[in-house]
Amino acid sequence: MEASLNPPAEQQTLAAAYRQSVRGRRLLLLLLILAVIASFLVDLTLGASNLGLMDLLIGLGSPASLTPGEKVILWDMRLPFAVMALLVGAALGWAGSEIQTALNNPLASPFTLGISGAATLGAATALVLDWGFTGLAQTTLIPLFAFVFALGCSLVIQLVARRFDASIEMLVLFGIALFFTMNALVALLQFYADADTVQQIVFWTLGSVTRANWDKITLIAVLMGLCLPFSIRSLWAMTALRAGELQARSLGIDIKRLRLGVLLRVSLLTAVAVAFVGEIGFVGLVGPHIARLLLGEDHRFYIPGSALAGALIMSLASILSKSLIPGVILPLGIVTALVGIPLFMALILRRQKLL
Amino acid sequence: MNSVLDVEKFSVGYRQARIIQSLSLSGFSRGQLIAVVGPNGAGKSTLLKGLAGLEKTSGSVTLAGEELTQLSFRERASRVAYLPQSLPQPTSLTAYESVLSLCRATAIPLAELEKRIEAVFNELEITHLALRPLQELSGGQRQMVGLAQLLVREPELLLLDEPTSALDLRWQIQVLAATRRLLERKGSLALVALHDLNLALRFADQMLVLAKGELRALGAPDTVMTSKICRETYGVEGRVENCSRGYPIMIVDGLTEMSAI
Repeated sequence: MEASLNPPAEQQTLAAAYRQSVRGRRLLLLLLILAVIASFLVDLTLGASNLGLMDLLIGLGSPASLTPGEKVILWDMRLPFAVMALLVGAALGWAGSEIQTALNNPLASPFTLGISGAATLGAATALVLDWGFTGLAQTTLIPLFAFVFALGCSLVIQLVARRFDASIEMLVLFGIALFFTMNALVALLQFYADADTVQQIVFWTLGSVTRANWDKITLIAVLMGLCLPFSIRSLWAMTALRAGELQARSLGIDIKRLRLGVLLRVSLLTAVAVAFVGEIGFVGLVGPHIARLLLGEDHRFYIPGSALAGALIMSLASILSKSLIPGVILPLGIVTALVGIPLFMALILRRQKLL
Repeated sequence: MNSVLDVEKFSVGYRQARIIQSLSLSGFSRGQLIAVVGPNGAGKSTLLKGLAGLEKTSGSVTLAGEELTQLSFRERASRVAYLPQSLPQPTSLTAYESVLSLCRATAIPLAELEKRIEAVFNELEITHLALRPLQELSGGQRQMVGLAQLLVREPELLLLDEPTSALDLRWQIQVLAATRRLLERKGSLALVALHDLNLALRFADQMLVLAKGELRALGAPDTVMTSKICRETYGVEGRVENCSRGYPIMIVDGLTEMSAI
């Protein structure tokens, strides 16, 4: 836990000691923000051309100082890739923190409900079947299908939750069932697809920010902006839920409604994140754990902390993906998984030790 | 005597599966601790949840002259507090945060809330635990925090569902003694489901004996827990006697023959 949580001094009131711990957490949030900014700037400087940080910052202020080629590198590659990494990381970290609270399960992640599997199925459907009659390019069709399928999956989960008054256990099991169903359907499509298409599907599932552009970034930002006020409104209720479900219910907090709201937000955030960058594992799982360790579970700090931790992990992964093999940008999904698996195992072992 | 709580024709559960059937209770004074006892499946938890408004119910529940069933859930929750059988979750929330977050859902202003938390933590002697995460506290300490979550709201009626079931002997006594002290000071009423009859005899002003969802007896502990009630509700041959220090204690002589139950 955070260092500032010391027992209160004799003369100090509990409220004053608590406010002191709140100030400590605000400071930690600020440090996380600074770390994200620093990582973002480093990420911006990495790439095939020799554009340094100062060139880029000057170029951002006065575009005339850049050559047309440098402008393309800055505005169409480095900046959108780095911003996309931050946004997707923040969306997945945020979604992960909310789903872990709603399902009362620290091992839940945005992918627990099968939404990423649905996005993959959507992308595979766009790749395998002939959609030429729509007049849309495949680069548009793939994220569109991935988003529509992921959204469809979230609507099915909402429907099941409402129609059957689903318990936490039922939702998790239903999510797992959906995940395997989607995987089986993707495998079926791959079975019928030619070798090139199979390769494209596999590449899509590896996750990459190199498909980013400003339209996609705007859409993610708008959806995150839409979810934000609803999340803010639920902060105290979600914290109360961590104190105990029956305890919160007995106070008049409508837990069912709260949980449905969380499911909807998590579905939207996950759908929009995976639709544009593919499957990025572990960010939504590990981000909230880092935030919990640093900031505790007061959701006023835990949720922004999870979003910032998610953004930081993705940004660092983006840096690693460009620097591990010179001249090659590794798919981000591979890097987050390679970094995430040991972290995940360490968290499980730590949890086991606590129990 | 005017009863602070009157329950009339109170049923809990759905029409096809009523667990509590047409129960009527009266004769409760302010500051009293009422032990709700009975064997497993008697309906103790169901009764408390029903009174808290957490289960589907029918009938009337009047608290200090006001019909609770006519109030919105939030209004009812401001007067009636329910402590579930499960302890507060072992999360990384601190004890203080867990109380604060639960009470932010109520209409109590923040400054007032801070004063109340301070007073309740002092009263329960858990001030030193306030800024420690719940996951680092023992079961007994967490139960005290659970009690604080309720008491901060200053409810008129406390419903405690087996608050001592997960605790060792020392914490059982501490939780019930703290509850008693606060009831006497605030003049609230508490219905406390208990399995341990000796604790009920020691701490309760009245005992409410339930079996199969029906009221079997209600009154002063030493008069209620007769050998007959003990046999009929628990299937145990037992009697209440005073120990050498004058406290009533339950003595069990053996199990009742099945044919006699």
